[in-house]
Amino acid sequence: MAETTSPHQQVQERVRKLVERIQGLPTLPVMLNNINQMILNPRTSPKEVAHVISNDPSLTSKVLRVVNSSFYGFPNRITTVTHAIVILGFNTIKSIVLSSTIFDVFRRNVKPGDFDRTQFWKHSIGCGCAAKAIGRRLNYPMLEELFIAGLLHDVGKIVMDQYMPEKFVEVLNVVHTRDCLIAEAEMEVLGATHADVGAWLFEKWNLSKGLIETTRCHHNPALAGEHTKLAEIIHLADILIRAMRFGNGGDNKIPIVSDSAWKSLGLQHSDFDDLLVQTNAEIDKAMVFLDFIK
Amino acid sequence: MIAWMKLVKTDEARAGQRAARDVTDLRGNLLFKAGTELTPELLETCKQRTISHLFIEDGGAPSATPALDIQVRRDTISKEVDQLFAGADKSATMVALREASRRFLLGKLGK
Repeated sequence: MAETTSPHQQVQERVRKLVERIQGLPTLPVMLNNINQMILNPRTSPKEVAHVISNDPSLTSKVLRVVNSSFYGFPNRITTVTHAIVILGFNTIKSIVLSSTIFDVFRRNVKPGDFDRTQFWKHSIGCGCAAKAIGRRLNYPMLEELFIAGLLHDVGKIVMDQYMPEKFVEVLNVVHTRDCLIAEAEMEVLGATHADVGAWLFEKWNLSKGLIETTRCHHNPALAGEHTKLAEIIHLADILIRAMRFGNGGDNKIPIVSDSAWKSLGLQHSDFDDLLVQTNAEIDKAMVFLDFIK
Repeated sequence: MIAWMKLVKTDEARAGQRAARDVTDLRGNLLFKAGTELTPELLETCKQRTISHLFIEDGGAPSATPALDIQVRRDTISKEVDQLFAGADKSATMVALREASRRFLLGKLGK
């Protein structure tokens, strides 16, 4: 008798088959792995973590640029990583290291006509900014988490572009021909979406469950289990940033906001004007991240 | 002194043309001054800084007044918003967002 599988298992199986073809997928930067391990130890001091970061001059410079940018808006200049950790805490520094290194992990020379990575990262940074604006409106306690989740929600697209370029060109051709959402084209061509691939990568990288589920479910936030609120915010942020026409994630359509997510967030239609203005203000503050994509 | 200027999309500006106004980034930092000759590097910087349009010097008689340029831009933005939200009319939330998006983008243009 044939075993029955759930739709979720079927997608997982398709993703597994899809990613089996990927050769040389990037590993989580060793630096982040080390920092993750160190933070788990309650005896770790800021100086020890700073020492690990300081071994990489390029990363040190990036961390200090972010910490001293208007993104955090500290009145006085922070000149050492140790000082930054003392002020911001381990988790925030970990987020800064993750966001600062992710651009390097997926850097490559792009031929004209390929997926536009600059526009892609602008969309992603903008999504993080929109998520922060929504989070502020909702008094969400961890705005840092929202920014990172927004920044990384579409990373699966980069994985596909970099590791299965022929298939991804096929996806983009379907988007172009039908003027449809990229996720619809991915399902048709690959049987799975960038959301599934991104979540799979983050599982491999042992990132937080919240980040994994939000990435997987940003088009269907109700499926994110205990991380539904986070996924709902990223779902709406993705739609808001498209409405602002800031960056481009590979298509020119806008997904319909989920009714259940909208109700659950408790926002009003009259909030949109302010959310767009606040998102724009967040983007101004996040300019330092735009410098990293050059 | 320049006789005329015209507003062009950054994508359509060419190296060798001259900026007719000072160009600043979204944070107000001066990138280059009016009169600067555009180079491929400067144009790339503008794109990176999400500057979508530039005022460039136009030596001949203008094909359109700046006011008309702005109106053309407004119409284009409005049309792009409608295209982006095509098919989303059944959701009252999306209709509200579409109109907020239009107000936001047109408001940015007016600044």
